Amino acid sequence: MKPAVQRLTRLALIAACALAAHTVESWLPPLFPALPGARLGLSNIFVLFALLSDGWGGAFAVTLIKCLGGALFSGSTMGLMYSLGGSLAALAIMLPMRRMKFGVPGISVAGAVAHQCGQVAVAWLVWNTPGALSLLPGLWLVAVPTGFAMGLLAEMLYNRLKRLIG
Amino acid sequence: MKKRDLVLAAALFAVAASAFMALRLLPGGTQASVRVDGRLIWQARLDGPAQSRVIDTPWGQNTVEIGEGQARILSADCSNQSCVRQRAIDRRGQALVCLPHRLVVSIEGSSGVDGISGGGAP
Repeated sequence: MKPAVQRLTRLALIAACALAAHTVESWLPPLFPALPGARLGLSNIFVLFALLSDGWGGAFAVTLIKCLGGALFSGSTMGLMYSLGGSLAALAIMLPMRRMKFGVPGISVAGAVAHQCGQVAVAWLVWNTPGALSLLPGLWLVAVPTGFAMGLLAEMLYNRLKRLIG
Repeated sequence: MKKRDLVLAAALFAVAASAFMALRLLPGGTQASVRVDGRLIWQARLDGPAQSRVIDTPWGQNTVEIGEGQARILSADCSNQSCVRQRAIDRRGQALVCLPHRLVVSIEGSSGVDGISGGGAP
């Protein structure tokens, strides 16, 4: 199989997993009811996987599909703005970190923290709600452990599968 | 995983924890403001008996109660309900947020809780 086709197929599979994880997770009740948007972030396992297997292009593609597909399924424009804002902020932080020789959990934690900052920024700039800033410390407290855990899982998954899928 | 990952995680967690605690330790406020989409809708003093008001926003309704030293959101018709579950606030810098309704309840102090100066220094 040509490498290009292989890459396409691989990314499509990863993106499908990310979208499925995102959708199922959105059906679950929130982790901490007082903190809107605080989640485990299961779909990020797959974004990180794509980052490892296909670099920033792969991670970007999977992220876009996750956000757009998730918004299509949930029908929420507001959700899409928050999702995109958070995910793009996370990517912006995670990509340079790869060069700074951080491991996967470290990149994931930075991404999780940036994701929450992005979401608060969306609340502030797009939805006129600067008060959302007061939620940030609480959101960070959840983001650090969940980000780390998701990073560990992504690393484990990648180490096991990389021989199979290139 | 590398050691610097753990260091980063610990550092970020420490920052978050300090910010979280700092929000609790801020000086108390004197009044609370309710803003929807950035516009001030209601303002009331924290001391005095609790008053509640139903705030209608273009996106839904919240019931806010201010008084007896604190402010809280009693009910809301958003699917989220995180604003209702947030704890009552009483310190400057704290806020209650209903994101779907763009509603923010924040605490303000009008004047000098910033220390009681004991007369001018020469």
